[in-house]
Amino acid sequence: MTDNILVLEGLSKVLSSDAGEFELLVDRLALERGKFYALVGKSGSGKSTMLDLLSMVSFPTSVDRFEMISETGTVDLAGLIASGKDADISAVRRTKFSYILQSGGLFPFLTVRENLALPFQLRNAPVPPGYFERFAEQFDMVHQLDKKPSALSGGQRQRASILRALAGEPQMVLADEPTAAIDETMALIVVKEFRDLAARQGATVLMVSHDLDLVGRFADQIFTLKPHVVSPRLTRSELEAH
Amino acid sequence: MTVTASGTQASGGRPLPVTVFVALKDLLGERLLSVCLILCVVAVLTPIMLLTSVKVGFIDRLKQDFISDPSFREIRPLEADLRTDAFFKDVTSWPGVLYLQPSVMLTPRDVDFQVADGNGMRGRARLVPTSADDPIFQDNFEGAPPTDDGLALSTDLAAQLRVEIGSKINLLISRIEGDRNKIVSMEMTVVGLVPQERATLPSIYATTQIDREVEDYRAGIAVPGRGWPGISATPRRHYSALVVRLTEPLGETATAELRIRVGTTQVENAAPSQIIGRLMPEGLPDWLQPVDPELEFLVLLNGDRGYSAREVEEGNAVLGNRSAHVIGLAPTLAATVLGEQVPFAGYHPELHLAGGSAAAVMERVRGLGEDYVLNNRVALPERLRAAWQTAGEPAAVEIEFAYGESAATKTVTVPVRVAGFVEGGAAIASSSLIAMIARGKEVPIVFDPLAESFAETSVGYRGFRLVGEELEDIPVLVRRFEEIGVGVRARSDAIIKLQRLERSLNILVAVVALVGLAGGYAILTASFFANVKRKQVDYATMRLIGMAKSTLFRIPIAQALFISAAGYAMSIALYHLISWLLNRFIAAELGFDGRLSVLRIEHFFFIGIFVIGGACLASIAASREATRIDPAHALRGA
Repeated sequence: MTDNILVLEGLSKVLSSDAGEFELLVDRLALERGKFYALVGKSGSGKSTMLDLLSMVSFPTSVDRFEMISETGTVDLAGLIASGKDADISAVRRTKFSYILQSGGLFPFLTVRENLALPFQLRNAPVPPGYFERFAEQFDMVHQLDKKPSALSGGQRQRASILRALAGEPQMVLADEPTAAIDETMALIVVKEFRDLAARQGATVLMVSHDLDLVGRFADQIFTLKPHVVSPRLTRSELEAH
Repeated sequence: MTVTASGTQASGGRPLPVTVFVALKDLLGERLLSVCLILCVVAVLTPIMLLTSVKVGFIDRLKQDFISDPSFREIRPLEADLRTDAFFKDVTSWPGVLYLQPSVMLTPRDVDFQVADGNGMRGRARLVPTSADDPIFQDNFEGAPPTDDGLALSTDLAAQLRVEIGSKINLLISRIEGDRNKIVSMEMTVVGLVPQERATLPSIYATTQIDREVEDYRAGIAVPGRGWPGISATPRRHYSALVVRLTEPLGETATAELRIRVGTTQVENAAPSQIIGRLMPEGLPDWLQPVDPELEFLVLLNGDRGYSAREVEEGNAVLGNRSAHVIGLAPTLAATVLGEQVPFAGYHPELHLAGGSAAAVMERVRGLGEDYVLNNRVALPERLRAAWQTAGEPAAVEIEFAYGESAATKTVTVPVRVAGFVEGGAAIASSSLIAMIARGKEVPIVFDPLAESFAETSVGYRGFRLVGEELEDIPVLVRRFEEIGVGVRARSDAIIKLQRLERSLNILVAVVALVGLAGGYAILTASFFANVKRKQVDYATMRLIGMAKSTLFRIPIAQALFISAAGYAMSIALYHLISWLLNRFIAAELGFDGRLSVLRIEHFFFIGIFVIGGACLASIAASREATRIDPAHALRGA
């Protein structure tokens, strides 16, 4: 029996523009607990749209099933989206998900320690004494904890961003091209460290990337978005699992 | 409050609310911009506070001048009319009246005195009636208020006489008796000294009782408490109106002269029935109504003041040899006789018997005869005949007239001879008797049964000194006196000018403050809004990591609170510094004897509410914008 954490079925998202319509179709996406997934595709294939949908910052045109399954129960994300209740959606975002952004997503006016602490504050969760030091040690970031993001190198910023994403032991981490701003060598190191730390934390990761070579080395499974022109006015992209 | 290393704990271990934490850290992260915003608040607020403080200091100083000089809060009458207890009681109940002091004279009259011990100096100073409640004895007053054997002196008079508290002074009161000047004295002790700024002239402050005794003696009235005999016994009569019976038109010149000589404010032509209807609402029996209703009368009225017998004589002097003459018309008085309430109507044959049919009317006044109009003869209504017979048909009965309706009611009991009985509900007495008894409304009178005559027991009160609670009450009280027809003098013009000046300065300060604050709020609004727009990726990231819209909404408001509170605190500090410099150096140079710059706690409170509240409102646009930011911006990075 599979240990799914997130299941998405029958999803359609239609985006309209002057150039025509783009339709993202996901027949089924099932992510298992503790696995490291990659979502690849060319530019314009719908990776960002897919990430928006999973982050609940964009709502599907239609969806049959969109659920998050945890030990405490199943959260009907489709129903939650349909309700439009900001407080409830925000609560799911801060308790079930965490995010790693291309830019790092760190708040420049907070130190690394304060950035790490913010998700705890939002959840009113206490921080055990010495927790950040012990956690940062795994990324060799202890000495950077009290620095502002502007004082860090690109690699350090991404590490700090990964630390913030994993610090609260989230069930699902959505990473959007976290290595886009660093060189290839550093990217390999950062993604490896990321995968290892996520595995130790038991978090499921879906990492969006355009670099199949990079994610191919570390991902348990890769999903691909392949767009094809249906008509002059409609381009369709469907999710394929490998 | 300090932010600990974890960035989440306040000193003492309590976590900061996330709104406060993020707002504060954001401001601290951009210190230069935050300081600029704080300085913007200071730059707008400090000049407004200083301007307001100078206005308050200036107006306070002027008000203080007014307040320290009690004459600015005083109201005195213009006319020396006799005033009743009911009048004083009514005025005392008016809002804004702090103190009301009746006085015998319209303005304080001089009294001679001699220092009884020590130097024996003689002198003369005005005698000011007062009482222990007089504001003149509040604060900064040395000694005690006057008593019935103690006086207070103005400090300049005390210095001039070289007397102090405890010294003895003899008041010397004189009057002319025949061709001799007779002097009595009252030994008094100096019990208090009134500060110079409250006494513009050398003054002696005495109780109302002393004032009345002095003036009673001067008027020839006996003062039994002092053993001073009286020489004047006959009270003045008090008529409600004068009536001129016209046999021919009086002419404009004679009317004008009449008006001036008797002090009339209103002249009307009226038929007798109208006169009786107006002045004697109790009415006369039908048989006493004028027999010639077509006859014309001229009615002279002067409000509540009425007329004395002397003014009747003055009027008749004006008319000279004309066939017309002036008749005093007395008001109807309520009285108790033989245990019954009976109205007493004043009767005058010239009025009621007009038309020449006196015999017919006199026939109806059974048994009264011509002399019934003498002072102490009355005709009682028929309904009292049985009671009179039950009492043994006495030749004289006592009639009790009461004045006033309260505990301060005065009564005078008059034994009168029963001349007969008349139809109707009212007893009939002569106008002159009623007018004399009516005098009792103004001054205490007694009836001497042996001499069968009346005597005034006091000269009554012709003046008063009213002290208002606040300066602002004075113009209102002046208007109220005018409404009841009492002419008064007060320095209300100066107060009204001060009020206008204060209003004008308030408007000026308000306009300057509004312009300044509008500019300040515009800057804050734009700055907070621009800050949110500039940091929309950060705000979007906050949304993405699960910060609710309501939390996000509060962040710009919290920042506005911090900026305005810090700016306000700095403004207060800067204001105090500049205010100190103004008061220390500039005020003296301007000849300003006092604090030029003044703000009171309530000013700080209201300015604080206005500034901090306004700044929070200025951040609303930014707060709304923050909640509109799409969390997808975080994923797009733009």
